[in-house]
Amino acid sequence: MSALSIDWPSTDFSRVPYAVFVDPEIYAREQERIFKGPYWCYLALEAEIPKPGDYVVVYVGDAPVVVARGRDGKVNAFVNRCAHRGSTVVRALQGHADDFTCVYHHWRYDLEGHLLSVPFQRGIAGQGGMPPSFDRKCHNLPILRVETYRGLAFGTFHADAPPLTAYLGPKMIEGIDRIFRKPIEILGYQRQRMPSNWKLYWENINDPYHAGLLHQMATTFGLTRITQGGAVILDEHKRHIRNYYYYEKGAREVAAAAYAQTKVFHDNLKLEDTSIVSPIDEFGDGILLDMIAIFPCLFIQQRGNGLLTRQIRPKSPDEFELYWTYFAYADDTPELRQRRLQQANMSGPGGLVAMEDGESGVLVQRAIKRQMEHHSVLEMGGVGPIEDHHHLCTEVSLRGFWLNYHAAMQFGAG
Amino acid sequence: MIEPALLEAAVELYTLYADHLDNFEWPEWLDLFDANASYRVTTRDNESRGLPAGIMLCANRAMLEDRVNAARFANVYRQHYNRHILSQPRIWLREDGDIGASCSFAVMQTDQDGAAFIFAVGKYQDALAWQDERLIFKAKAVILDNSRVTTSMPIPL
Repeated sequence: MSALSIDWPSTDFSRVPYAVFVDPEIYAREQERIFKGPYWCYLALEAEIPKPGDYVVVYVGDAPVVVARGRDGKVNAFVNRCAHRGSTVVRALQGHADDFTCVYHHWRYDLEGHLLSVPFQRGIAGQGGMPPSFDRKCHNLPILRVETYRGLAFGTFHADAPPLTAYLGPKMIEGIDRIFRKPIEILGYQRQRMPSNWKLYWENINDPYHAGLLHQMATTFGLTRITQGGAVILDEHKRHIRNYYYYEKGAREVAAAAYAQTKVFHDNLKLEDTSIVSPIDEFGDGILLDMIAIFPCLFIQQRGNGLLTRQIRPKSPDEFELYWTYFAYADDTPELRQRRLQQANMSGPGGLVAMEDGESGVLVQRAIKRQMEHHSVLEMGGVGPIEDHHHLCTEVSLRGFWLNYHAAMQFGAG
Repeated sequence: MIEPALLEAAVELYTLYADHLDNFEWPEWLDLFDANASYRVTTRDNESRGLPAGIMLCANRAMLEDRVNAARFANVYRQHYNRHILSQPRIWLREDGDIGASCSFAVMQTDQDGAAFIFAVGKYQDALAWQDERLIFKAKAVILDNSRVTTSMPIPL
């Protein structure tokens, strides 16, 4: 039986077959149906390529893509694969260029991915060269549609993707407007290689149920506790998710009582320096942690004064890279900038909170290897309709993801 | 010309640093830092582009102790051992009176699967000072050649 006709035993997606995390056929189909499907994939922040000719090399799914700012100021994206013999055209991960020349046979492309010139196209002294029928216009690099919103650049391979703002929808745009409310600067990057399936990470980040249990630094110091209140908000298609958590309102004793049945609340754990767990509410709306997940590969996050994006870059069924980009507001005071840098200790591969997100996926991947006929259980927060929840004791948004994933993948359709 | 006694003291400091760290001898390891010593881990990519964010950033020894205690008592991660292999340090005298030092390192990691792999490669870029007839760290920067980290980095390098 092909894994592509696997059984999904519940129509509300409260069961997820483990095969989706393991099977190479499914992985291959994801690259076609999701990462080249009618969805917008995050590419980069416009602040990374401020000037015409600036470029970065990123990934859409597992396809390498160049994102370059053109002479007209617009952001372009094209596949980093020479139209001639398939060589990598742009070899640096970031930089500045007037145009791009493949080193193999020096085919040259402009900042939009159009083929500009082919050496010896007319041959030498009447001998050799390309045939008269060769038309340079037919040999551009594969070009993605690009749209930007508030400094976030997205690309799609698919002609049927709706306009970007319609794709994001008003509920996600509200969250994006909040975080990208003023000009930003890049603070740095992290790359993290995870020996697990990329969708396990999507599930992890969008699951507030785990956040107040797995992350004991966060529960102990009031950074993410289920008791602090918040919401899980879905877009109209249930594919994008905004999770937010408020600053703790009740006393530490209230949380300690609620957590009495667990072992994750450490009364004896003290910090010598509390600066990294003492953010200031610079937004003035009481939201401590705001995470916006844009299907299929982007997370935008504000934790206290820490600001970042995470992009999922799948590599194989059991491996992905997580690409972290830290940013700040251009008008930060030096004191606020320092707070952001210190609070970055919570995130990334060394993140006092985030390190466990990567570990959890590995624990799952290791255990499900030969469990293809079994399913995970998503019932926290209830079964049935997939809707917004104004509390954090829920896994509902994961069912929204699987609803969309299932539709995109066309399981059972051969 | 670097005095042989200075080089010898620096070699002793780096040797103790790696051995205490790999043996989880935390009080002894922390004792190699000045109370105001900064400690950070970043990548060569970030460093060469002048980008200030890294993987760990401790402004003083108290924050570094918090990191150690988080790894010991709070964080959840795979059980593993790290093994540091260090080069001979390069030493120079800085204009601010501290001693500049750099030292290449490789960290092999052995996890529960039983295999060892190269977890990190890079160099230390440090400031040292004399205290009680021994050298200690006034500032330490761990600059990784590998720009990507496998799974997570719960323990300082």
